[in-house]
Amino acid sequence: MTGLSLDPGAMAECLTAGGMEVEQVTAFGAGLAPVVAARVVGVDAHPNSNQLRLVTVTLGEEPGSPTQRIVCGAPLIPVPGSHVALAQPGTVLPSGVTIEAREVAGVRSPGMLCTEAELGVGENTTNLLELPDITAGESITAVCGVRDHILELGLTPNRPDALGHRGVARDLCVLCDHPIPAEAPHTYADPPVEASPMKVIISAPGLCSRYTAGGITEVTVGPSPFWMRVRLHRLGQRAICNVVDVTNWVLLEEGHPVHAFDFHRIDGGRLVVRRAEKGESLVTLDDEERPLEPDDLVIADAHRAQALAGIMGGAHSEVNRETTRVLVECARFHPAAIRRTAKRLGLHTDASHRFERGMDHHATVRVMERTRSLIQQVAGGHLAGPVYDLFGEVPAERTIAFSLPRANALLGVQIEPPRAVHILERLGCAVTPQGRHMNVTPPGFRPDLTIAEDLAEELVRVVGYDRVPATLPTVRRETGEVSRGALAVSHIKEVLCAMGLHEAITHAFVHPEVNRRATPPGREAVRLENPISEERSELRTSMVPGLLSVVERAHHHRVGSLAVYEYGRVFFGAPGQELPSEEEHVGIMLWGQRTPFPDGVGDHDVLDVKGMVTSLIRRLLFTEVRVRVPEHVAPWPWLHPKRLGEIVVRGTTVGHLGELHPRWVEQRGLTGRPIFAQLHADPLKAWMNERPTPNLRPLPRFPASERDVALVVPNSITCAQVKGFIKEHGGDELENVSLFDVYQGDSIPENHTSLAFRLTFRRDDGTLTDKRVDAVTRSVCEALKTGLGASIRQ
Amino acid sequence: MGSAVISAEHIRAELGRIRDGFSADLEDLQAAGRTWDEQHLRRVRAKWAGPQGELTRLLKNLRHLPKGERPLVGKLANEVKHQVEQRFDGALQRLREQNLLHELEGPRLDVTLPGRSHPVGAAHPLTLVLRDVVRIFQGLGFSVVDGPQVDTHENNFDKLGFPPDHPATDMQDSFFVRHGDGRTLLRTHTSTVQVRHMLTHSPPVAVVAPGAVFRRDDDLTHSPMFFQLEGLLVDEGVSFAHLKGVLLRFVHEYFGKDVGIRLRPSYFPFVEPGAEMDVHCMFCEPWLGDKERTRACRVCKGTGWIEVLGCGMVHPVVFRSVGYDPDRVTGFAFGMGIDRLAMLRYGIGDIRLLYESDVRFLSQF
Repeated sequence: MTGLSLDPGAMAECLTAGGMEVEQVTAFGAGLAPVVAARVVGVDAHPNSNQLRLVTVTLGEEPGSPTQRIVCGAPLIPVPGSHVALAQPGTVLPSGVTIEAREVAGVRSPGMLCTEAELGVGENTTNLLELPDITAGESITAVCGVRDHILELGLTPNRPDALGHRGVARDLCVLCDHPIPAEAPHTYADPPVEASPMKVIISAPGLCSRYTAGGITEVTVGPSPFWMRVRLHRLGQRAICNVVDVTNWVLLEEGHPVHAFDFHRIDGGRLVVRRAEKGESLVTLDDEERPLEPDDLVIADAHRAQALAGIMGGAHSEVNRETTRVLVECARFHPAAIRRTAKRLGLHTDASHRFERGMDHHATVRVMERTRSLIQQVAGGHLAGPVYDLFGEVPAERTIAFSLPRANALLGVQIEPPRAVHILERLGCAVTPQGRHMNVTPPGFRPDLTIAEDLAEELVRVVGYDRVPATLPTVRRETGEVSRGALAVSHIKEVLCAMGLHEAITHAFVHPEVNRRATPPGREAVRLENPISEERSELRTSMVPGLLSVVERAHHHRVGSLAVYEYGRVFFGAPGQELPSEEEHVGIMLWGQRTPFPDGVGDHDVLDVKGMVTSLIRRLLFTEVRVRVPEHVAPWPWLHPKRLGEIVVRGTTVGHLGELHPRWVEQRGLTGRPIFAQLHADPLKAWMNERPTPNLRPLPRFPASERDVALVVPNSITCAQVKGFIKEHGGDELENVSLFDVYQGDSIPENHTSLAFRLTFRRDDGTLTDKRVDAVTRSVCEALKTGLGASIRQ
Repeated sequence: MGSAVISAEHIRAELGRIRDGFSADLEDLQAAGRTWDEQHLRRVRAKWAGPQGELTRLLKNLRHLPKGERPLVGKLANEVKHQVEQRFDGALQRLREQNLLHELEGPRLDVTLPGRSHPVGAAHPLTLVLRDVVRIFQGLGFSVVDGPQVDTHENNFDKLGFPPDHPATDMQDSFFVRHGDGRTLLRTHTSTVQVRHMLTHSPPVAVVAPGAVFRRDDDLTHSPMFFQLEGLLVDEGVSFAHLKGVLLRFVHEYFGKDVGIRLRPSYFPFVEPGAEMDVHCMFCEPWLGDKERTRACRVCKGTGWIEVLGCGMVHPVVFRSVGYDPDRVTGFAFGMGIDRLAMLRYGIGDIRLLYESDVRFLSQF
């Protein structure tokens, strides 16, 4: 197409560097050189097999040329005189199989006769490939150009010009600074035949800016020639019949879709580009009936819609074996309109893909003529009738005021004016200098070029992104305030990891059933309108669903225990607000045995998670944490009603902890007691950002005295109550109270618990005497007896 | 024992008996070999010289002696006590030395027993990667910001210049949520944070925004939820060369000094010029020049390059939609997939592993 000579690797590099990313390069036919045309001389039965036959072939056309006997398993052997493809030893088929002379069922075969599928040139897997117009002994690669490289491009949606081979070739020439080939005018064997005229009307000018059509008569519909079929096959197109194959060929070559109507199926001598009528429908080429809406654009005759404009033809006017006269259409439709219809119908075609990206308004006549000439070449016939070329609302020509100095500043490079003009002109732009600026009019095939920045990209794309220097900017910082939130989060995560928890990250969308179970009463979950599946159709309202799935996964894989946390967002419906509300939460899940050997004693319980939560908050905020028995259990129906607590920090409830409800655990097929805690991170982060640096207390100068007090209290009294009571009665010298033993069982009355506390006393201004400490301890004990009904154990 | 009948002679004899008795007991003990310990030794001392021992009891009787004899006998008694102490100390020291020798020559501790565990958890690989990436950009002067994960169509698409009914929106298939007018969605990229930040801050702006984003994709390399980090620098005179400089510095710090970058023209509606950035494949290390190794590399499919981010100069349409003057400021933006970085770094082949949170996976980091 261009005369440009580049090896496929270099071409791929050049295209990728120019913004047309080559995703894959596939070499075709590299191993097919030893495949030659062989003339069939005769067929004999195989002595040992009913499935196989012995085909005598020759590689010469003269009578008496030496023959070979090939063992062949094909059901039908072409008649003597036909030419078939013989893979001689050394051939490597596309499947990777290497052909060698070998014995097949006891008969030596010096090669293999191939089907087109075996050679990678077509789809037929049963019949031997027959080659017309070839001389025996000729290599088939020489005749059919079957040696090829396919470069697969991953194109961005802004480059409709690269959706055809010609456009890619043109851009490649620009990128490689190679002359751009002129487009040759189409020449026809004979002048057009006048025939029954037809009226063509655009009645929806907003949706179709140009409609071009031309006829060709006395065509012979049949299979395409081998070279055409091979090429289409390589490009992923099924061969259908010569006329249709030409339209596919042109779409790939020119990047502009064309459509061929069976002219005789167009009724009433009219072709109208119009909006579909209410209630109208169309049976498309794939034999689906498509209900249409007034937003859809159709090509209709006097009676009915005949094609879904820019998307797919209609079955009624489809080219078929009986077709003798064809009308070739090449048009430009409105991109957004085509896209809307294609999306609504779920009908994404090669044509709609191109039209919705924007086709060249100027190209229609040329592309239509290219189609007609190719049809004439492969299906014969004569041009017929006038060329219809009608205009709707023509897209305005864009002229961009372009300042090269500004573009250079934006890019950080120095492109000189002559170079810039040269590049823009080669890209197809019209450039006129206008004082210090230039006016640039992009070509019709580049609808993506609309502003000066687009042209800047074009310049640097051709010059090469690799020519832009890498310069570090001076970053004018924002205040550190901005990053505080992120800092707090990473601190929280670090502390949790240090406590032995692994960090989990789970999907934010969860199963509605699990979600609802763990949604606080009075709050709404947010539903997805278009979930991937019902299992992931709601946004989580708590950290429960994700962490529960982690437990379930571990259980499934027979991992007996875990300790994980997740830091993430939960979502609640917020009617009337701009957006649903989002909160950041930390969830902790413990399940199964504590740390294993040698210290693994027992399973995780609620006090483990309480310890973690307490340590976390102390570390973050240097503040005490209270876990209290909630007044109502209703807010947490997913927790064990007797094993849960509210987490209170600075007088505010910031979370909850407990055992998951045993009934729920059982229903989900889990064993053991998953332990869960959840903290609302937003208030924690806010407090952390108040710089909660602890005020340093002077180190104690005098020794402390300790006394242990063990007491038995009814179970109705909580540890926190006892501790609070001791603190209240311990006077100023009581520095600390800590529980060191809990006991129930022998020697303790039923429904009672023995608690043992260590009391630490200290004065700032001197050493306490034993007498004094004993007296205070005694008075605390007395108070516990009378105030709480505790009995003191000696 | 009657009073005042005790003679100095008697006491002297008793002192001798105590000294000899102590010595005899000590010898008996030592003769017993390794069956005795400090406890036994102390018991012997207590019997003869302890607070309740024979010596103490004897000394209580000193007051019954005539005054004149007391100093002499007292001195004698002190000598005995001293001798006892000395011999006790000697014995104790020998015993300790023996025990130590015994331990040092004795059996080994099996240090191959598992250590007593102090479990330390691991951050998720995505967190680890994000932490490193964010630290690099903070070092370059960028601040860290965040925004909501559920956002408006306007912030996610319109303000970023996505044309309505344009194929560009196909690149990011969105999850819509049931809320308000039906134009609420899970953000498909962190670029929403760009918009939000510029709407509330005047230039200059230098931020990165890490976070979860959502697209309707689900296969080996696409997860419906994944993580991105957005970067944005807006100021007067910011150029494409600056973008390249910042990204190159990032790559050198994150991947290493040898790793090269390649920018390729690409398209995102909110940048112009737009690019995708590839980095040298860290598996076949093309900078070492072994072409065969690169050709055989399955990670980069033989190209030597791996795509890691999209970037470009902020499109004027974005500036206009947030109220910035595109004639006064320019800027660059980039967005990188954190999942991809994590998968490359840790050799994770299936993106779903990142979100299943299988503890056998989590405990490997």
